[in-house]
Amino acid sequence: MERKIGKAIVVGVMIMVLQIAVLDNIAIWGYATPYIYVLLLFLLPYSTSMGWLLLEGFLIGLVIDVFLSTGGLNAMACTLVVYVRNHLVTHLLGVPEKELDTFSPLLSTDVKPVAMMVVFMLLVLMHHIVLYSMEAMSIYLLPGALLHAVINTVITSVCSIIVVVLIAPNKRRRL
Amino acid sequence: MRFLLLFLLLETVGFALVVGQYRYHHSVLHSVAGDMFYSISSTLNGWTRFFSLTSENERLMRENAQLRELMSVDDKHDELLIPYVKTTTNSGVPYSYIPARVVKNSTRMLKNYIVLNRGAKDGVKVDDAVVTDSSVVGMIVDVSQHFSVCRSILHTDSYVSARFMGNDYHGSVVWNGKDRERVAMQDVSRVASIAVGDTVITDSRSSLLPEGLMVGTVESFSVPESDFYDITLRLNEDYEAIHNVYIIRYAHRDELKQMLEYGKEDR
Repeated sequence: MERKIGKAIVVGVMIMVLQIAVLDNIAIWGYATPYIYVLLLFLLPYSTSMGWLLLEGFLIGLVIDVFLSTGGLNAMACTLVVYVRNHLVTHLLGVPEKELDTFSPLLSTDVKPVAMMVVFMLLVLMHHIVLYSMEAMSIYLLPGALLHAVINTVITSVCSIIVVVLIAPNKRRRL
Repeated sequence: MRFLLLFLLLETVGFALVVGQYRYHHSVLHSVAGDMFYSISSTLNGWTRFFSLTSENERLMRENAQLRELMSVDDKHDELLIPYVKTTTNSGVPYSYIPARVVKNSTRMLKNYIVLNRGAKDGVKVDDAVVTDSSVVGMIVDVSQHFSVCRSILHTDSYVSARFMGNDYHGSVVWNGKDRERVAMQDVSRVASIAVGDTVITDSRSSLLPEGLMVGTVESFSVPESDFYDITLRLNEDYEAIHNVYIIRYAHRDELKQMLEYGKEDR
């Protein structure tokens, strides 16, 4: 169990470093940047109480903000993602609330991978909408920001799925 | 309910940080994390610079050639010089130059800043202009001991007075945040005669920028109902790829600024 937690933390830190040092410098078509660290928010333990979950999400976003010098944009987006995450998992994926404690996206066999992906993309979309609309901070620039969010959601999702295939336990390679 | 409150609290903190970001160049530059970040960034940049050495060398050589030409100045040669060098020599306006390197550069945000490796210790001051060998880059907005932050022309609040090289019709160049290779030129009177491919340079009305720095060329324009053209300029510089820049200051800047302000209170 402890080894498992250790491994999860190492993978988490690696993803953050990857995000800050490498992915932030990528701009596909000079425009889209994969934010694969959103994956971490989706994978954070489902047994954690909501209070801690919110703090964890906020802190992950804040770390990204400090290194990418984006104020509190990522912190805001991450807090929203972790706040709605469990609701989406119980309502859209049909995981009973009692079983949420033992739910793990990488190990679950009850949920269809496609459904899991859709929920993940929804979370990414919310993250990006907050990120880009708060960055624009003007009604005039809002349509552009929303378009940016949608395009970036596709990029982030594709990259995240690649990462999942790489880190998922061998038995079940799926999101 | 408790969690909703916590959620709202955290979002509020996040929002406060975002609002603080409007003055972000202050917070980042002066924080410990900022300092650490820039020293890491400097090292990383050292590696990336290695790969662009050839093109940068070429550029510096080209510039050297132009400067040599300038030293052997006679009137015929003058015609060949790039516009800004010409302006500075002809009118004898004293500009001071500080060569600087780009530490961190962003072009993808709506509000892009460039961090340079020169600071107050090197004599950099707020409102100094930042240029490459021929193009305008932006304006210094904050200075720390060893670094300074330049607000790029690719910043939705940036505003550069510019005019056409061929005639004296002028306007202002702004960025709409969409495309990092293009900017819009506004307030150009529709009586002006312009053509696709015309060169746009900085204007002497700016107290901060020297006249004659290249901004871009006209890519397309239309004449709407109003009295002003809608012009799209293609930028001269690829701002993603800048490495070496100059921080320049007009020696009589403050004096000029004071004079330009004159009479404003009366209005």
